[in-house]
Amino acid sequence: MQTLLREYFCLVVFFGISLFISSFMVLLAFLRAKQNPYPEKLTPYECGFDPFDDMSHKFDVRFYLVAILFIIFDIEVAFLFPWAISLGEIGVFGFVSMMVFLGILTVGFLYEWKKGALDWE
Amino acid sequence: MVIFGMMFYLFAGLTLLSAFLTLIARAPVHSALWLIFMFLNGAGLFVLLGSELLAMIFVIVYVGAVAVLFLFVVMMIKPQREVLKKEIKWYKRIPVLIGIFFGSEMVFILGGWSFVPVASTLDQLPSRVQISNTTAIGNILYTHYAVLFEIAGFILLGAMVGAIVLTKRAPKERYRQKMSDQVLEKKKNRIKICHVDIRKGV
Amino acid sequence: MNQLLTIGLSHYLCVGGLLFIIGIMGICLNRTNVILMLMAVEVILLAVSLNFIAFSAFLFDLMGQVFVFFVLTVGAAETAIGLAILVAFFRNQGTVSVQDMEKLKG
Repeated sequence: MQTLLREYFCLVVFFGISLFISSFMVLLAFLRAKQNPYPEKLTPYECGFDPFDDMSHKFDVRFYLVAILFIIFDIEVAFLFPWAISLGEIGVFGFVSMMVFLGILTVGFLYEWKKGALDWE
Repeated sequence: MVIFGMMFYLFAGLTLLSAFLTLIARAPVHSALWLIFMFLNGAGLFVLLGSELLAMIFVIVYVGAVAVLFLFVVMMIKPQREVLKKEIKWYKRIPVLIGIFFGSEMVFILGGWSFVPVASTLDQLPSRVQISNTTAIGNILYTHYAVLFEIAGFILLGAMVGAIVLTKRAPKERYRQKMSDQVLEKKKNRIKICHVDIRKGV
Repeated sequence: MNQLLTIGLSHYLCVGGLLFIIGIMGICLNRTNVILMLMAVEVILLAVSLNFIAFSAFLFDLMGQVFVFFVLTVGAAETAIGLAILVAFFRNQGTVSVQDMEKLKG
């Protein structure tokens, strides 16, 4: 418990410093900058989008497909982290089991390649 | 120890609060953002429990991918709040029943409850050994639980294939230049030399 | 005060139970919006994972943590497929309200 707190103390310090710096900069910009707002300046601007429009149908399904495939491979990589650390311990069997796992996912990868899910037409 | 307790109450309170706000937020985009916050605080609780690997993976997978997917879908289809057309009565009783169940369980938990003495002898891996959480999980995940691990691979494969089948549109006819086909094309496939008789046509 | 700040297993179990109740309530009471239901399922999965890890930590048994790994895998796959069904349904019907989901019965 105590060692855990000690290990994460530097993280807390890091968060504190980053919070301080970012809020300091925002505050400084807020206090020191010359502010001269007029309606046109205050309207939200987004590149490529009309800000006061219906949002739907702007996002294509292809984004979604890419996001899904990202999730799957994200989990695959998450499984790789502990494997990489304890590879020396688990020996050949662990290696083979991970290779089978990667092989299964490679089948899926080939499937989506052949299906053209990765193409952006 | 005091800091530890305070951190627990902070994370637990924020987790519960953001879970609640996820489900009552007006705009679905806000729900997705509260969901992200809930997972961050849940990861904080995991760290307090000493399970660092899973905390980080929760941040990577849930905050980084799943919640972003929710945001995508909310952006894409823009769900509206609607009025129920017809009410199903018994639906409302389910949470009441489950609430009673868990409430009574909590009474048990808080009122002097402990493990049976045997439980501490069932240790699979002594955690006192000085190895990190990640190493300890890695040592058993790929060997002792190899079958479950491969099944997880198949589940991911199924998810991948299913997502593609469900969302992929039939590809439109694409006119794309295929360089290899052009180079490999033979003259006799493309050019036909006809000897046309005069005044007869082909 | 000191008793209150000493965190035991029961504290974690209470948090898990409350999260579970919130998730169930989200599914049962909030039945207008399918995306919100899927989010409620995520809340429930977090509650279950929290219970698994709490028992794993207090019993010194890693099985719970390994199992949370698989819960996470299944949860991500479930989200992907659920949202894919939702997107496909929306493309066909132009709506995602729960009542119109009856059409999925065929």
